Amino acid sequence: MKPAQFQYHKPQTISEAIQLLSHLENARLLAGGQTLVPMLNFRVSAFDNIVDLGCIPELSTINENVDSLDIGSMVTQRMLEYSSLVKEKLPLLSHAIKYVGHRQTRNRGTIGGSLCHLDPSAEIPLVALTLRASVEIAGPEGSRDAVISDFIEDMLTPAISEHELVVKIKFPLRYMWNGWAFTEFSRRKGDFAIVAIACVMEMGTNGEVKDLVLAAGGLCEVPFRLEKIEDAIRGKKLNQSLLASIFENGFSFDALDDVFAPSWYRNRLACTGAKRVLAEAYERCQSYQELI
Amino acid sequence: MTDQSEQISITATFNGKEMTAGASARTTLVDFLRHKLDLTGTHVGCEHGVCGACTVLVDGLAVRSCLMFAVQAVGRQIVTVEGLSSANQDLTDIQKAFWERHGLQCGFCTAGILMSLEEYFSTEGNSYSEDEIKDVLSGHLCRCTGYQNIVRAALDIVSDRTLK
Repeated sequence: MKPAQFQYHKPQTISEAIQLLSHLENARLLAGGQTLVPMLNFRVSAFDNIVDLGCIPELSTINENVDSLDIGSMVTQRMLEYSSLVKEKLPLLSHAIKYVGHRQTRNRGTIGGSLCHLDPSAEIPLVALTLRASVEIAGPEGSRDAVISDFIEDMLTPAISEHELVVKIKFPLRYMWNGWAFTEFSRRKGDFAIVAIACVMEMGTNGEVKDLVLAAGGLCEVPFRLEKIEDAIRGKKLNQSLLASIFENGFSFDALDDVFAPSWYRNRLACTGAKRVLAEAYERCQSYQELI
Repeated sequence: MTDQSEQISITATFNGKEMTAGASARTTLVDFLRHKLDLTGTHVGCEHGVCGACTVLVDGLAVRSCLMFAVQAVGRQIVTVEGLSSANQDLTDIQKAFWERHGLQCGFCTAGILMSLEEYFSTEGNSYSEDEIKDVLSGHLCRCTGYQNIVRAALDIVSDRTLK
């Protein structure tokens, strides 16, 4: 189908975009368009005004600061995939980005667009949560920062008003993650994940897991941390018997349920995935320790 | 407030030539190419970015022209399947490989696949691999399911270009 009629706006600066948002009726921001345009084409959504963020250069930059890597909201998934800086500083993001859609959609799809759409199975919100990112949001009252766990409000619902826009995503560099892992189960390559699991880990001097983050996407309405498992592992050495005892009873989350992947199946996949990423992240920690 | 069906003048470089035509804001790039510029080699399939039939190059990158509005193409370099080799020229090596390997059946998906491979073979240096080719092709649906010959055609290009 074809989209309903709308007026097209092309602001050149962030403040111009915010000004447009504050006075336009029924307006929507257009980032990479890889989700919004299908919704418009199918007339699932219709807006009177489309505000295209594609002509604001400062939204497409990646900046390394002392304590964070700041990625502009309009940085494309392709830029992330090919950035040597992202690969060096955020290997988990660099790896997970290859699971986002297809190469042809990553060429236009953006980090900010995916984060604001908040599909339950999307890789970018999951990785941002795992890496404890925060989001810089600009609005009519100035700019504010929100930690990602607050930003993720509900399914497909970020905690952001219709007059605001995400300027950048800040990934903290102060954590000493020396192991990471990501896995995803989908029906076909490039499909939405049924379940995706991400993990970062820091190993202490005696081989114990000093700190870790383990999070699941696709399992429930929003990506979330598996905190009970984190707590059961923190401070301990990871081995088969510890893993076996933690995962003895499997998962029983109130998981999403559809005809392709019923709730019990998502729980089973998540359990398998979590075991795998924990083992893989721990292995990476070990080989990192041997290097230094 | 202007009329929403207002025609916006769109000027961009299409297959090396600067062209201008009018379209309403809601016109997707693929509809603009086909209906305003008569470049009907690019096909419309699913209109939600899944099938890959409408893939064109925008500033050298393979993108879905059904997921982009024509107004977003202003000032950019667009290459469609017609831009690969013009009427009196030889086919490109990618096109020849498809011919020789019978890398198409009905041909509906072919224009998009050629554009994705054009991008892949022009940006990846010499590190081509079968896995990567399959990854690139995974962004395209061939409903005749002629994937084996499409992969064979692409692998021919790898061996040809690596030998050179």
